[in-house]
Formats: sequence, C-alpha cells, structure tokens
Amino acid sequence: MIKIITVCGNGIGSSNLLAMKINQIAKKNGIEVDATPSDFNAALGEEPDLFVTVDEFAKQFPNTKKVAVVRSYADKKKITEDILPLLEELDKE
Amino acid sequence: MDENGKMYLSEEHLEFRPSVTDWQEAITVAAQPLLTDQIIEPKYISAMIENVLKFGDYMVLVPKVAMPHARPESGALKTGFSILKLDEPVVFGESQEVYLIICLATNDNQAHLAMLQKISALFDEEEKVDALLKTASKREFITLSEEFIHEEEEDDD
Repeated sequence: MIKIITVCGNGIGSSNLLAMKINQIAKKNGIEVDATPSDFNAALGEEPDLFVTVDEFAKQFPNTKKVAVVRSYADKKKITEDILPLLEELDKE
Repeated sequence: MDENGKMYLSEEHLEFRPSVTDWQEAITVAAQPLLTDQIIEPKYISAMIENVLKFGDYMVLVPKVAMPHARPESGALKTGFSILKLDEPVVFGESQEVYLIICLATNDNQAHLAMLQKISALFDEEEKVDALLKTASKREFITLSEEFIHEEEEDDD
C-alpha cells in the first residue's frame, strides 16, 4: 500500500479532488494506494511515502520530503501522465 | 440536491452572464444563490476572495475553470455549490482566463466529498469544459452536467 498525501492551501477543495483522482487512477491500474488530502501546514508534520501537489506548494517543502508535482488538481489526463509512472515505480519497491 | 439520481444541479444555482468586471465580482455573483438559500453567510464571500489573494491562483483548477471556496468556519452554514458561466472570460491571478466559476461551501470537512466527486466530473477533461461552455441554456447545461456526473459514477464502479 502506497501512502500518499495530497496538498493544497486549506485542505478542502483542491487536495480532495486530487486525492480522489489519484485513488481512481491507482485502482484502474491495479496499484494499492491510499491518498488522503491535507492543508500545507498540517502536511509538513506527516511522513507518507509520497506528497503530491502543484508546483507552488511543492517548492515550499523541505528537501527531505519526497514530493511529486502535478500540473493540475483535477485534469484526469494530466494527473495520470504526471503520477502513474511514479506509482508504478513505488509499487515495485 | 438529490442523492437518488435526480438532477443534481438546479437552475437556481446556475447563472449565465455575458461578462463581469473582475474576478472579485465573478465570485460575488457566482455565490449569490448560496447566500439566498442561506448556505453561506455574507462573510463567506469575503473569505473566498481572501483565499484567492492568499493562496494565489491555484483555485483555477483546470484551464477556464475556477473553484473558489473557504473553510467551514468562515461562514458556511450548509454544504452546497453554485455555478456562474461567462461568455467573456474574467482574469484570475496574473493571466488565467476563466469562464466557469464554481463556488463551493461546506460546513463539514467530510460531508462535501460526495458533492466534490460529482462536481469534478464536470471539468476533469478539457473536452467536457468546452462542451459545457458551448451550452446556450441553463437547461442544456444541466442536462449535459448530469450526463458527465452519471458517466463518472459508472466509471468508478
């Protein structure tokens, strides 16, 4: 099970959308993923396998955290392109 | 709103306008139905505007679509959403042209997830957004929205 935390400013809208899309994509590709949303500040205290967010939040994370960048919080095609190769890689580990 | 497969979006929660002067006005106009139905307090509108200023323009979720929202404690009394469609785009942030503004309110951090999942079916592909923007009447917009929501639900099973 890959543990993912999706991040946006207040943890209500965008990060939830992104978590839903990632869970959908993972399910469709037979990868076990648990993606949950968080606001940026709360996320900093968490230790998931991977954080996923957009560029403007990604660059605020310390270098020690593993962060993947997506181009959109909601576009199925773009999220799949940005995240699926990484999920497949993590799934192998 | 009805969980049992009836129309999810109502004409009362949908507004068509040729244009607005700026993104602040877009949010204010889009949120009016939520105010009328006492889903939000007036201060929730200011909170959405502040959120856009504070967090930048990431509320433009996909090209042409913005989803302004704020935290429950900022004046959300219930859970609901309303949509404004513009003929002429309004600029959010530095240069993002937005035609569709979806105001979201929730008084509970969990209660809105089912709603969010349905709404996301309206804009998770660029082709869907373009099709919605071409609709000429509220009825047509709603019918197409319901189709997208229905497809998404089947996709999820």
